Amino acid sequence: MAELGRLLTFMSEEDRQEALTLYAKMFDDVTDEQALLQALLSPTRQAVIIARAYDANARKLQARAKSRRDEGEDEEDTPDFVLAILHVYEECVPLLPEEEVTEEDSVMANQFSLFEDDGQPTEESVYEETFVLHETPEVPSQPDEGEEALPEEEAAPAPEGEAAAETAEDSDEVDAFIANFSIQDNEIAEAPAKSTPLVLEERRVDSVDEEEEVRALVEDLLDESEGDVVLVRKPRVVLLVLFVLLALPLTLLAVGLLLIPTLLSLVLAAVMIAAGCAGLIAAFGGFPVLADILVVLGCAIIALALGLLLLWLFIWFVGTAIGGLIRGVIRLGGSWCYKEVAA
Amino acid sequence: MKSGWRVILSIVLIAALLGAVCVGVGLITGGEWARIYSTLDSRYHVAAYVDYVQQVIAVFQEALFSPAA
Repeated sequence: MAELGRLLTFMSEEDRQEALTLYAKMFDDVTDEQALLQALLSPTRQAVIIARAYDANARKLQARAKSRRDEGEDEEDTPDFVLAILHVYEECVPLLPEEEVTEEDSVMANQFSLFEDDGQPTEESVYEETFVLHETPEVPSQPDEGEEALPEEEAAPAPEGEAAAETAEDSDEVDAFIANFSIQDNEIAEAPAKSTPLVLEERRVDSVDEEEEVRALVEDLLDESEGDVVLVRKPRVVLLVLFVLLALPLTLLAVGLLLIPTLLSLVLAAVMIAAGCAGLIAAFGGFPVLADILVVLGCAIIALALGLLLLWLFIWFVGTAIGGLIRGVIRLGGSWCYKEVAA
Repeated sequence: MKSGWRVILSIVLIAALLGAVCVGVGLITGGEWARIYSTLDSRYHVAAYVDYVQQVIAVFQEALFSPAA
């Protein structure tokens, strides 16, 4: 549990405690804790199951909505990770009846009532029995008559239908309860495949690699959960109007001033590149002396180099100077005229 | 942008050095500015462009820096 709690630090404290409480309750409700541990495999596996079902942003929104409503939770607000934990428990206890709790109960009451001992000893014994069957299906069933039907269903698929029929006919309340949730012919046909111990063995594949993957996933979730505070920008209207009135003409003036060197660099770049190209053409076409060709070629290369520099200067003026000025003014207006408040 | 400046300046410096070397070698091996200018003038009418630019500059100087009449 300690390792699981450490792995679940990407969750909010409330959700983490809720998850740990569910697992603690799970252990409290079973007698064979070793069997449950084997069924759960490892804390990292449980952590990744929860991590896959956990959405930090959605949970924050749910928590805020809940605090605003000040109402009790309803069925739609059940967090996904709670459902995932319940699903894990139901996988460990395949015959756990989901319909046991009425819909009028609250969500948490629903979750806990699946594990709580509500005064019916037979219900707890059903859970224990199913766990024992999960791990050691060859263990002989207990001599209690009311619970015999269930082990027979798990251990021997063929006579399960008959055993189920017997339990359905039994007037005992416990057997009726078992019959309600476990004696369906089509489900019984599928039950042996689920309850074989091979299922658990199939899960234990590449546990080391899986743990590493889980740790990476948890670290990613930790990174994502940092700085997830939702902020909303609200304008200060008066400041915004004043800023627009002042900044707009000033910015236009500054842009106009910056346009002079920008266009000048463009014109000079064009002249230099044109002169360089003309010099290259002339060097290879109109001079009979090699020394003159070299001089003209050198001058043409220098002119092209300066043209390239001026052209880059033009691009820099447009992209960085003018664009940066406009972006800076907008950013300044954003920082002065807007305030960030928590949603 | 910084890497752009670095690349552009490198190209410009290399090209300027190459051009300077070409000019130096050409002048050392017998190149003459007068002969080059006459050749360019006969081919591209450089003197006419030079005169035109000089006249434009003079007009601008007169318009900008002369005292108001």
